[in-house]
Amino acid sequence: MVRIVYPEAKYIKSIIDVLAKLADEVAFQLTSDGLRVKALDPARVALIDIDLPPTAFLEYNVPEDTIAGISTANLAKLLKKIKKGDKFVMEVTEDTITITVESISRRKYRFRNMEVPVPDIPEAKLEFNVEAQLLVDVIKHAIKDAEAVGDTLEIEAPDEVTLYLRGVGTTTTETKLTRDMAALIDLVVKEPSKSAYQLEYLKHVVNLTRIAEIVVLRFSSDMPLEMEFSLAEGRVKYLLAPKAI
Amino acid sequence: MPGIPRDLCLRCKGYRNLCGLGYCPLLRGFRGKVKMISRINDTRVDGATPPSALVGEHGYPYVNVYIGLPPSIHGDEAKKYDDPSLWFLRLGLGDIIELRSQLMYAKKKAKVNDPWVLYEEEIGLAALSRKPVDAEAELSGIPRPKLRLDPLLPPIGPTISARRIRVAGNPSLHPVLEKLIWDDVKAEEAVWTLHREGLDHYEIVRALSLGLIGTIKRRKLVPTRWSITAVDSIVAKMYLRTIHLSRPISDVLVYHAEYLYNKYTVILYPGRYSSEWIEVWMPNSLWNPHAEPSILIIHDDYWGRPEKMDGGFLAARTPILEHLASVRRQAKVIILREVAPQYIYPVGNWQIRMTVAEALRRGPVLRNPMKKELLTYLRRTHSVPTHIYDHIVKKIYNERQTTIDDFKK
Repeated sequence: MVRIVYPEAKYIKSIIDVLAKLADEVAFQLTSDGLRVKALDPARVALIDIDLPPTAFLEYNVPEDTIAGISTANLAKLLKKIKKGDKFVMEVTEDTITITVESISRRKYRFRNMEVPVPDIPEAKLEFNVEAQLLVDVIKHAIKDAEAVGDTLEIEAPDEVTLYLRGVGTTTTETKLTRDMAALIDLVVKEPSKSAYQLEYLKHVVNLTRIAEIVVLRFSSDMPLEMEFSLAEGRVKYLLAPKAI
Repeated sequence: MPGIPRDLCLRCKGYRNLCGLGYCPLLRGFRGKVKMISRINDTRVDGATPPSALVGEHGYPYVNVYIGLPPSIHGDEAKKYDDPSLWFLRLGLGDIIELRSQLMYAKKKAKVNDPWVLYEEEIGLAALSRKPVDAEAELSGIPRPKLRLDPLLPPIGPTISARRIRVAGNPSLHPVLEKLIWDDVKAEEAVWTLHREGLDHYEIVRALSLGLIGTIKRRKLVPTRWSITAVDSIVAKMYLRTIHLSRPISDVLVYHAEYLYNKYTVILYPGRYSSEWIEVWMPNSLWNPHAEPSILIIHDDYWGRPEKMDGGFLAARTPILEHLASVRRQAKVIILREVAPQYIYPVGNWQIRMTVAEALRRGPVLRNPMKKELLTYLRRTHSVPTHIYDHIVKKIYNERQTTIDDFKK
């Protein structure tokens, strides 16, 4: 039987909350390389790719490759009452998935292992002209600000030292970051680029800002945006297609 | 009267039609009440319930159950006092006000998790009947007609607490409903079965609110207002299952209908399902005493989860989902509702559900309009702030979102 133990259930909850916004059912792929979840939203605009290596777990016992099919809405509901420090234990057999939340008490949930096809995910080989590393709070606030004025976030890197995050609507908001600011850790611009993304999709990842400290943004003009959130161990990647002009 | 400045009424005194309605809503309601009360001369009142039953929400879990009785009116004659499907498109606002004010409500207290009390008196069954059912109420007093110049109270008939309500006639129920009352089935399933059987929305609402369907041990009284939206939400969820499996439509289709000073334009356009509800209350209308139109916009997502719970939005969405499921297509939806100040009496959200359904039944008024055409059409039929039109047009024609597949190599 497959059994994995994750030390901080709160992290799993944040990840599940994001997944629940994109897909009904997801396949947790458990292999000797770690836990991998890939999901595409029904409109095929956003792709989330989660990778947690075995070292991220307290216990990682996966003798053979297994797929756990989970209803995200159900799981999100179960994990609602989670406290900091709770342990997340998942046991998977062919028919059932048992999730135990270990805190001062031990809560056990058992449900059926659903047959979820591993989605056919377009492998996009993308070239990014801009790569920026910044503190997650910056992107979180930029998304929140932009939400107040409209439905689009525009990202622009006009030269090697500046990055703009703009909320575009009837009014505009702008966050300007330059290389000498503490919030912008690193910026590499091969070619000045500018692109716009729907906040509807961006706001989903705000949840992830709770579990990561640094985010790497990669994009090119009118090309998808890749956001990589690094956890202590493992990472979550979010790929979002741009708005067309 | 809401929407009508009070001093206007004082200057008009019911005959100058200063409010522009062509009749006086106050007098109309008052006349109905007088007509009704003149038929009551004892604390014992009999009549046939159309059927009409409400569960209040104040004081939850101790709520009031109301049974509507038009005094001394029996047989099929009673039907018209509470039957939106009979009223729809045939009656004007004034007629509805007059009918409504002739319905007396006998009130009884009940605890929500004890719906069984109503079973004993057969009130529940009477309320689900397809035909009016004779009933008798022993009131705690005799109602008096009062002319109330209250800007917030619509002219409804008086409510009086009843010592006892006795059902005298035989309720006749839809066979499927009759069976479900005795079945131990979840309310969600029961609602869907009844909807598929073609029962009227309000029949299902009454069954749910009086605690006659659901898992037997967990039956409850559900305040009417909540159960109206609950039924909409359950039905929508089921239709969405079919819709999610269907192909998107390939045209932009525009539908329109209006009734009781409410105008609805429904636009379906290609894409995966999601909808947007734009509700505009014109200045001086019922819920908007200000000089500027007030606007409410609510979205729901692919799964049909609305950002904010709004009974009106869910009511309008139901017929659209029903339509999409029946043609097995999905689409993005925009619903524009414009409420004029003459809509002085909120008749209930059947008006929304039925008018939107009517718009779809009539068929599209525009098919694949050009951007300009659509703009002209909206400008001609509505009088809401212009930025709303721009917003709609922009959504339909400019909202181009690429997908990840576009970048596949």
